[in-house]
Amino acid sequence: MKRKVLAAVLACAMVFSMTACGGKKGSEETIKSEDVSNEEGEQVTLEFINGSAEEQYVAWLDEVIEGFEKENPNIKIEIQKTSIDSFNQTVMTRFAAGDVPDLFSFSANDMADMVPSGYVQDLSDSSNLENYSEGMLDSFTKDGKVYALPIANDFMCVNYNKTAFEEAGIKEVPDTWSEFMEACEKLQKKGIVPIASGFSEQWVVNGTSQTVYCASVLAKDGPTLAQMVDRSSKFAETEQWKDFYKKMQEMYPFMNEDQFGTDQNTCYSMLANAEAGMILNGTWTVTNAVAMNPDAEMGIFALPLSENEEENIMPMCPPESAVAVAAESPHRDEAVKFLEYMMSSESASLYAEKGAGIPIVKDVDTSNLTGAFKDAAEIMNSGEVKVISSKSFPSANEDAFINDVSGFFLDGCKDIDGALKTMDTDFDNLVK
Amino acid sequence: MKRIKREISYFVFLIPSLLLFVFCIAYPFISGIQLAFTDWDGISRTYNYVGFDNFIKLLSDRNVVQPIKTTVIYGVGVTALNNVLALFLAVTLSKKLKGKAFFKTSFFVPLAISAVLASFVWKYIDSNMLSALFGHSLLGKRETVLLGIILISLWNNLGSNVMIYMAGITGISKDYEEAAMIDGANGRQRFFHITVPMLMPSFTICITLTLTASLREFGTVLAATGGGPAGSSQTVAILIYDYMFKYSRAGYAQAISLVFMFFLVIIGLVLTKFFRSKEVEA
Amino acid sequence: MKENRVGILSKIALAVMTVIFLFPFLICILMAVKSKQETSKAILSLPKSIHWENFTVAIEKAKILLSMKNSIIITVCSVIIILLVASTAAYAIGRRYHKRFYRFYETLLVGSMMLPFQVIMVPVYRMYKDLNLLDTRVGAVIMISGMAIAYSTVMMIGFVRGIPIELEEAAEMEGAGRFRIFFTVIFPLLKPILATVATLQFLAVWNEFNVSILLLQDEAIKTIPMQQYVFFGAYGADYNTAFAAAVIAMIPVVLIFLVLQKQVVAGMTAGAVKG
Repeated sequence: MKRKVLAAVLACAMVFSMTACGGKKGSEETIKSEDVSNEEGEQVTLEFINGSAEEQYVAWLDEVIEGFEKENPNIKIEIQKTSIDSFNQTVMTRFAAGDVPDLFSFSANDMADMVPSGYVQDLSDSSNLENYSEGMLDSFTKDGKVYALPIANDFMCVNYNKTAFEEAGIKEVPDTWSEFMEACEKLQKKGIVPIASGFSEQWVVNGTSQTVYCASVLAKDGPTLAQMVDRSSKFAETEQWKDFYKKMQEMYPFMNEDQFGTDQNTCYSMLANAEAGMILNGTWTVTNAVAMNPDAEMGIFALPLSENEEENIMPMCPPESAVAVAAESPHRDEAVKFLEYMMSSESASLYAEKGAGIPIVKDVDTSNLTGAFKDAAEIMNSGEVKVISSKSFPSANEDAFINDVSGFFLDGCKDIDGALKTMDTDFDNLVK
Repeated sequence: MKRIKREISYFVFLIPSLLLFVFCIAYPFISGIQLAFTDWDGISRTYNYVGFDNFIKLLSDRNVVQPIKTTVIYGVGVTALNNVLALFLAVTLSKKLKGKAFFKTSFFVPLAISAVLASFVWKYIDSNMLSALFGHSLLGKRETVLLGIILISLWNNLGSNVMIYMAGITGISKDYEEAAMIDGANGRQRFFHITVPMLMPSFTICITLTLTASLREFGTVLAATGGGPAGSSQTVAILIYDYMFKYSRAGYAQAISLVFMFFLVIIGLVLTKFFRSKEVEA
Repeated sequence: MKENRVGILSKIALAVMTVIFLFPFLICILMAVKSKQETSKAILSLPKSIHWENFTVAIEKAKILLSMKNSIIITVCSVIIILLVASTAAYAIGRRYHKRFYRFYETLLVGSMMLPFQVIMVPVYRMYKDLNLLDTRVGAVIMISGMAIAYSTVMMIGFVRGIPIELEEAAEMEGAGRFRIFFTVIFPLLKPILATVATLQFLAVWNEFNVSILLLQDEAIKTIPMQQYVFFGAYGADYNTAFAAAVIAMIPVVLIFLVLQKQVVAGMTAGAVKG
C-alpha cells in the first residue's frame, strides 16, 4: 500500500514539474489574437531569422520593421536572433525539417545548396532590382534568376586613423606601393604599429588576405577564385598569386608582433586610439573602431599594390550577404513586400544614417554620412571602382586557404614558392 | 515468486530512466544512423544512399589526421591536469581550514562563465601577461596553442571535479581515518591506503567523464582559436561540425561522428569497467 | 613534523591557485562596469565612474528578465527530474549490479554520453515538430533531462554501491517496501552526491546551449545563454555589455551553489552517523 502511495507521489512530482514548465509563450499569444481584428483582414506574422548581430545593423533593422509595421498594420515581423556561429545550424535544420522561416539572412555561399533544393524564392520580378547597378547582384544570381537582395557593400581596403598618420608626418594618403611602404616606416619610427592584425580570429586572416588578393589578383585580371577552386588555374603558375605572397612578405615586418595571439577587438582599439595606423580588412572595421572611440578620425583608401597610381583604384566585388525569402513560406507575398521595403532607397538612407555601413542601393541620401563612410560613399558613387568577381572561396577551400596563409605567417613569411605549392596540393585534395 | 517480485520491485526504479533514454537518445540516434550512408548535404530533403562510401572515404582523408592528434593530446592533457589539481584541491579543502567557503566558491564560480567570455578574458591575459612570462603568447604559436587552451579549460571547468572529489571524500567515514591514525599511519599512507581506494567511485566519474568530454571538446577551442593558428588546434568535434554545417557534407560528417563515437564508447567503457572493478562494495 | 611542512606547502599552493582563479574575475567585473572607450584604452585600469548603464542595457537588449524567468523554470524543472530519475535508476543499477541487464544498461548510458549532439540534432528536431513540442518549455525540459540523466546516473551508481546493504536488509526485515527503503534509507545517505549532482546539473542546464538553440527559437521562451549571444557580431563584439549580462546571470548560480554546499555539509554529518 505504502509503495503505491510513494509511487503516486513520485509520479505527481514529475507531472507537477512538467506542468510547471508548461505555459507555452502565454502572453505572446494573447497579443496576437487581439491583433486579428484589423481593417485589412487577416493578420500575418512573418518570421525573419537574422544572422547579423552587428549593433548598428540591429538598430537599423528595428527601425525598418517599425516603419513597415506602421504602413502595414496587418503584417507583423518577428526577428529571430541567432549567434553567428549557430546561424547556419539553425537555418539548415529548419529547412531540412520543413519548418521554414519566411525571411532569412542569406550569403553567397548558400546559393550552391539552397537554390537547387528549391528553398529560395525567385525575386526576378521585383521592381527593386532596378535599384542595383550592373553586376551588383551577381553573387545571388543563378541562370538569370535573382534570389536575394543586399542592402550594403563593403570595400576590402585599408582602414586608417588620420590622427596616427598626422602624428607620423604622413601628409597624403599613399598612392603607390613605395609610398605605402614609406608610410609604414614613418609610423613604425613614431612607435605606432603600422598594420594591426588580429589573426587569432580566423576570419581576420581571411579578411586581410581578401584585401590583398582583391587588389593583387582579382583587380589585376588574374584568374577568378572559381578557377582556382576547379583547378583550371594553379597558384604556383599565377604571377598575381605570387605577387599576393610577395606583398604579404613585405608588409610582415610592419605588423604587430604575435599576430596570432592578438584578437581583432584589441586591434580595433589600437586603431581607434592611434596606437596603430591601419587595419587591412573590410570597411566594417571603421564601424567597430569608432565604437571604441567616437572621437577617432577614420579614413579608408584602396591598398596601392602597384607603382602605377592609375592602377590603384578601389576594387569592388558584388555584395555577398543579403536577405532572402523562403519559397515555401505560406506568406510569400507579404515576405517579399517586406524585403522590398527593407531594401528600398529610403531604408538604405536610414542605413547610412545609422552608420551601419555603405548602402549599395541607388538614390541613397548620403548627406548624413561622416568620416570614412563619406569617403566610401563618394568612391562608390563616383564609379571610380574596379568591379571584380567574387572575393570568397567556398567554405572548405576558404578554411584550407586560411590555414595555408596562417602557416606562411607563422613561419615568418619566408617561403613563397612553398606556400604556393601547399595551396595547390590542398586545393587539389578538395576536388571531388 | 518472491524473487520475481523482488526483481520487479527494483526494475520499477529503472522505468522513468528507460523512457527518457529511449525518447531522447535511442530513438533519435537510431533514426539518424542511416544518414551516415547517404550523400546528404545537410539541408535538402532528399538524399541518395551511397553504401559504405563515406566510411571508405574517411580511411583516406588526410584532413582527419591532424585533428585526431590534437584531440588525443588535448584530451589526455586536460584529463591528467584536471584530475591531479582537482584531487589536490579537494583533499586540501576537506581539511579544517579558515575561509573554506571562500576558497570553494572561487574554484566553482568559473563554471558559470560561458566558454566565449572565458576565452576572451584568457586571451587578454595570454597576450598581455603570459606572453611576458613565456616570451610569446601561448595561443598564438602552433607549438603551445594546446597548452593555452588546456589552461582556459582548466580554469573554466576544474570546479566540477573538485566538487565530485569533495563529495567522495565527505562520504569516507571518519572512523577509517581515525583507526589508521591510531595504527600510526602517516599522511601519505592514509592518503594512498584509505582515501584513494575509497574514492574509486569518484575516479570512475571524474576520469572517464573528463576524458570523454575533453575528447569531444568544441566550445572552448572554437571560442579561443577557432581551430587555428593554421589548423593546429582543430579537434575532431570541430571537424565534424565543419563538415556538417559549413561544407554541406552532412552524410560524411555523420559517418565521422559514428566512427568517432565508436572509439569514445570503447574508451569510456574500458575506463568505467576498470575503475568500477576497483570500487569497494560495502 | 614533516606533516606540517606538507600542510603548509599545500596551503600556499591553495592560496596561489585561488589567486590565479580569481584574477580573471577582476577582468570580468572591470569589463562589466566600464565603458567601451575606457576598456579600449586599458582593460585593467579602474573605471573613472561605474557604468551602471551596462547592466541596464544588458537587461534590455538580452531581455534578461524574461530569459532569466525561462532559465529558472527550465533549470529547476530539469534538475528535479534529473535528480529523481537518475537516483532511482542508479539505485536499481547499483543494487542489481550483478545482473547482466543492469550492467548493459549502464553500458548504454556510458555510451550515450559519448554521443555528439549533431548526430541526433535533425531527428530530434523532426520528432519535436511532429509532436508539436518545438518552442515549448516542456519539450526543452524533457530533452535536457534526457541528455543529462546518463551523466548523473553513472555518477551516482558508485555511491549507491558504497552504501552498506545491511542497512536496507534491516529495513526490509521490518517489512518496509522498496520505495520506502529508497526514500527513507538510501535517499538521505545519497545527500552529499545528490547535492553535488544538483549543483553540477543546475549549472549545466543553466548554461545549456545545444538543445536550447535547436528547440527554443521563439524570443519569448529563449534562455539566458542564447540571449547572451546578442552582443556578438560577425566582425566585433560588445564585450562590456556581454560581461554585464554574464555577471547578472551568474548571481543565481552562485546562490544555488552556496545553498547546495550547505546540503553537502549537512550530508557529511549524516554520513558520519552511518559509519
